[in-house]
Formats: sequence, C-alpha cells, structure tokens
Amino acid sequence: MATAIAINAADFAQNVRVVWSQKPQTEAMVVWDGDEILDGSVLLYDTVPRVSGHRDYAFRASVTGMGLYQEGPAKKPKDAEDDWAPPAPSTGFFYHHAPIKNLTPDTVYYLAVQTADGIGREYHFKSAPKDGQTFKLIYGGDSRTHVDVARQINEQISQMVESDPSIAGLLHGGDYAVTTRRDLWKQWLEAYNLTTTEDGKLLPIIPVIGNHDVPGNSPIFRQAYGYPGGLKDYYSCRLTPSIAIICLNTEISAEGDQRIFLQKALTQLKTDQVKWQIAAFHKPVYPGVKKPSAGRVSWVPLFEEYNIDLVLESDGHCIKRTVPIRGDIEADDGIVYLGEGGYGAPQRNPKLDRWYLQGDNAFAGKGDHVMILEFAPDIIHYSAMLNTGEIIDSASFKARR
Amino acid sequence: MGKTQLPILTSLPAALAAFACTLTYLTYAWRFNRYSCKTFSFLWEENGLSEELAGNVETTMIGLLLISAICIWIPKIRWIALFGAFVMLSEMYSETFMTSAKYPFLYWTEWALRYSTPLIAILFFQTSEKGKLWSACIMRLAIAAVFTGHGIKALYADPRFIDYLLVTFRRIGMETQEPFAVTLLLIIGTVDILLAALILFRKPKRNHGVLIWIATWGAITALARVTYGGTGNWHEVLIRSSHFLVPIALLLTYRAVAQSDSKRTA
Ligand SMILES: [Fe+2]
Repeated sequence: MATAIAINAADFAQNVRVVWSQKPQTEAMVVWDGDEILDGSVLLYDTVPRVSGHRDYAFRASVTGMGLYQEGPAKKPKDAEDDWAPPAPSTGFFYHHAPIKNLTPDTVYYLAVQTADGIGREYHFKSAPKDGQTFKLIYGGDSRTHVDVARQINEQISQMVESDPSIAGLLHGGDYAVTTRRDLWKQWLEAYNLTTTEDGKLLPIIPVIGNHDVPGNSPIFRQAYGYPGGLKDYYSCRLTPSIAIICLNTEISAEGDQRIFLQKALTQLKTDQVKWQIAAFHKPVYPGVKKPSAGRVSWVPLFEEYNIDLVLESDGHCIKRTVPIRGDIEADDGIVYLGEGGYGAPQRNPKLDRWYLQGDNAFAGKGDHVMILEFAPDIIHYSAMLNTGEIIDSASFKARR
Repeated sequence: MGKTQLPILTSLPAALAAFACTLTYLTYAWRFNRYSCKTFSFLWEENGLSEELAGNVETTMIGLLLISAICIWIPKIRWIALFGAFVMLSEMYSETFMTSAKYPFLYWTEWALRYSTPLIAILFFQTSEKGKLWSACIMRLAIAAVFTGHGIKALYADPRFIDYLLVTFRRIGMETQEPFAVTLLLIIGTVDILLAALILFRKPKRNHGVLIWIATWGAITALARVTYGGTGNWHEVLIRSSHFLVPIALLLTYRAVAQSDSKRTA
C-alpha cells in the first residue's frame, strides 16, 4: 500500500513523451510536464520492466533543462465571454528535459520519472529500428484549432500502436496549437499523451516547426520537444543508417545558413549512401491551396540534384500527393510531395487546377487524416487514413538507390 | 505644399496613380483566385465561417477588385474604385489579426500605397486644386509609410528579405552568406526610414532627387521578386507597381508646382 501511495504521489510528471531528433537509434529526449517545477526529478530507465518491487532501474538520466513554458500573445477564444481576459502569466505549466544516450537500436526501454515524492508510472518505448527492418512511421501535421479532432486521431493512433508493433514513431509536420499560448500547448501535449497505450507504450515523436509555433518569438516548440533542432529548429534525423529525414524550418531564411546546412546534410547522405532520403517541413513548396513557400527556390533544386526520395509538407489543410516532379514538370524519376496537414486543423478544398495535382499519379482531397509510411527494404508503402479509418489514398515509392 | 498656388496640372500623375491601381488590383484579383486570400483564411480558419461562405466572400472580393481596376478610368463612377481599397483593408485587417501574424500592424504601413492608390487617383483627377493638394499629401504620407514599414521589416532581418538578397546574389554568381545579408538589410532598413523621413519632413521642392531615388528603389525591390523567384513571380512585381509609379506621380506634381512657381517669380 505504501508503494502505491508513493507511485500516485510521484505522478506529478505529466505528458511523459519521447522525442527523436538526430540519432533515434541511440539517443532520445524524454520530456515531461508539471504544474510546478518538479525539482530534483530524475529519469530512471532500464531494458527490463521495473514496475514492481524495489523498482531498481539500471540507468538514470538527469534533467538538463526545466522551466516555465514561455508563451506568445493570447488570443481570445471564439466562444469566450465578453469579459474574457488572457490567462494570467502565473498559469503554471513547466517542462523538464532528460536526454538519454547510448541506446541499442530496436530495444524496448522502460522508464519512469522519479520526484521527491517517489517513482511515477512506468512507460516504455522502443528505440529506432535496426537497419533493414520493416517498420511504419505515422506522418501528421496541423493538429491545431480542433483539438477534439486531434484527441480522437490520437486515440485512434493509440489503438493502432497497440495492435501493430511495427509502428515506430510519429513525424509531426508542425502547427501543434493555434498559437504559442501555454494553455493551448498544454491541450495539445495532453492530446498527444492519448497516443500512449494503456500498458504505457510511448510513441516517439519527430517534431517539425510550423508557422503557428513561432508567434512572439516564443521558444515553446523548443521547450516542448527538448530543442530538437537547437536554436535554428532544423536538423537531420538519421532514423536508421538507411533512412534519413531532414527536418527543415520554413519560418526562417530558406536560403541562408539553412541552405548550407541542407547541402551539407545531403552531401553526407550521399557519402553514406543512405537509401531513403526524405525532407519534411511545414509550408509546402508544391502547395494544394496556397502560394509556394521559399523552399521552392532554395531547396527544390537541391532535392533534385541530390535525388531525394520524398518530401512531406503541411500547412495547406487538405490531402495531397503530387505527381513526381523534376524541373517543374511531371517526370518518371521526379520527387513526390505528400501531405498538407489534417491532424485537427479545419480542412479545405485543394485547388484541383494545379498541374501537379492532376492525373492518375496524383491525389487531392480533404478530410481529417494522418498518413502512414511503411518502410520496407526496397519500397515505401504510403497511405492516407481518414479519422474514420478509411484509406483515402495510397501509393508505393520504389527505392532509387 | 505650403501656400503655393497649384496650377491646373496635366493629368499625367493621376493617370500614373490610376495605372498603378489597375495593375495592382487586377493582379490581386488573379492572386486571390490562384492562391486564395487572407480574408478567406481569417473568416474560415479563425472565425469558423463555412468554407462555402468564406469562398463567396473571396469571390466577391475578386469581383470588387476587377470592377475597381476598370472604374478608376471612368470619370463619373471613379469612386467605385474605393471598393478595391476596401478589399485591401480587409486583407490587412485579416493579416493583422491572424494568430500566426508575424508583424501585426506593420502591414498597415507596408501596404499603404496599395490601399491609398485609388484615393490618390480619384482626388488627382478632380479639377480643383484642393483635390490635387490632398492627393499629393496622401501620396507623400503613403510613400513614407511604405518605406517606414519595409525599413522596419529590413531592420528585423525578415527571412524573406534575406532570401531575396542571397538568391539574387547567387543568381549573378556571387556566393554570399546570411550574416552579410543581415548587415546589408540593416543598411537598407536605415536608408528606407531615412528616405521616409525626408519625404515627410523636408520641403517638397528639395525632394526631387529623393523621389527619383525612391521610385528607382521601389522598382528595384519590386523587380527583385522576379530575379529571386523567376518570371513566374510576375504578379509579385505588379502588386508593387504603386511603389514606383506613385513616387513618379508625386515627382511630376512637384515639378509642375516648381515650374509654375518659377514662372510666377519671373
Ligand atoms: Fe501552418
């Protein structure tokens, strides 16, 4: 009984999550939230469950960063009363970062947060797959605005994770909440917590930054995910030795330091002969609705020069799969641009008159959705799944190398 | 313009302002149809209006822009072009109050010429001197506002401005880096604000050279959208046509005033 009380008391750690950034096979950032600073908290982890008894975890990771989420300006909610006032700055919501290293790929790690009150609930996650192993990655963007839809999709994902052990993680294309308010991010992080299965399996997230994640120069994205791209918010994620996802930032200069980074990252992938090379960012370069973002000028020529396999985009609030594109025309060896975000954001009709959305090799539609990418050794199977479970589009992409 | 008596000027400045108005609004109509508009996003995403209703608003806005682009040339119904200005104001309002707005309120200065051009043309087309004086006054204010807005954005080292500079340099074979662009933007921003101050506070007759500079810079920065993004970016140039046509219109006005003054003195 004493143990049970201690566990409950220690469960002040909320929304425990695993963030993958540069080396998900061997490293992870574990982040949790609290209504207050959980001073002296530490992450305990092990390769075997320690759910009962002395809970003697073999490894400990210290908290390297913690603090109050810094927020941007408040926005009056639609259904607010006339005398609505922005939440007081004292609204407590605090982050805690504990990086863990030297992990073994494809290994289950059991973890729990220890606070002054005891050891909290045990969760577990699997480090990124071994090379050559077939696995799935969920891709979703724009979870903002309709957090109820995001919650529902996350419950659906949780069921999928429970029944399909090949789901390794989730790539989020940006725009987590409507704006950088602490209360809205709290809602989103609690919603993402619903992806955690009943038995405590965490779904690692690979975060990309979006335009709604930066107003007021708020660092809330970085604080929520443990600075995955440092202070620039872009990074190259080597999911396995054969799969790389370059996560870019459409909210800063596309041409400056970021283009140099992209070129270096792509050169490295070429040297390492990485089989699957993917780019992911928020504002689309071949959009379904809006204007092309700056990456069209600064990044697309590099994508084509280095012959990457696939590009994942968000922000348009529709569903799209372009024809393979090279040199601004449809080409058999071109690059397909997938996505546009439907993880909670309201959905709109794509502009069907755009040449890259036409024909048998393309798809355009709308609906609350996420996408599933299955990485087999020589092929990626893609499908777009509505929140009803219906598969609305699917395709396969053969390996180029 | 002080106590100077204005002659009945030729209508060339008015024609230039009207031309800028037509180019800007026709191009915006095209853009709204092609890429949708901010008002749509504001109504639909942020205020829960149905996609259909927001779409109807957008279509109405496109219609108003087209009508404005034509009506500015028809004497009796020229005032209808003010609807185009209203559309621009609606866009700015939406841009300002979107939750993702990066520079709320800066848009009002940045876009000053885009929404004031119809008024400038309408007032200038009037035969009364008073109307023309008002028009020149609005031109002066709007030009200063545009240069201040863009100047502040340059001082903020706006990512798109960095991109315009770096890509343009890359295209002409000069490899430059981000810190260089940021420094250059600091200079550009300061100069922009200085020019705005000159237009606003210096006597008009001493501003002829400044206006030539402003018109040239307005044309260069508009054309930079094409050197940056290729000819497909033609629309980015045309929506900024007022940035060089209106300074020319103001220059012509000042010249006419100066000529009439010197005649009178002689
Ligand atoms: Fe977005």
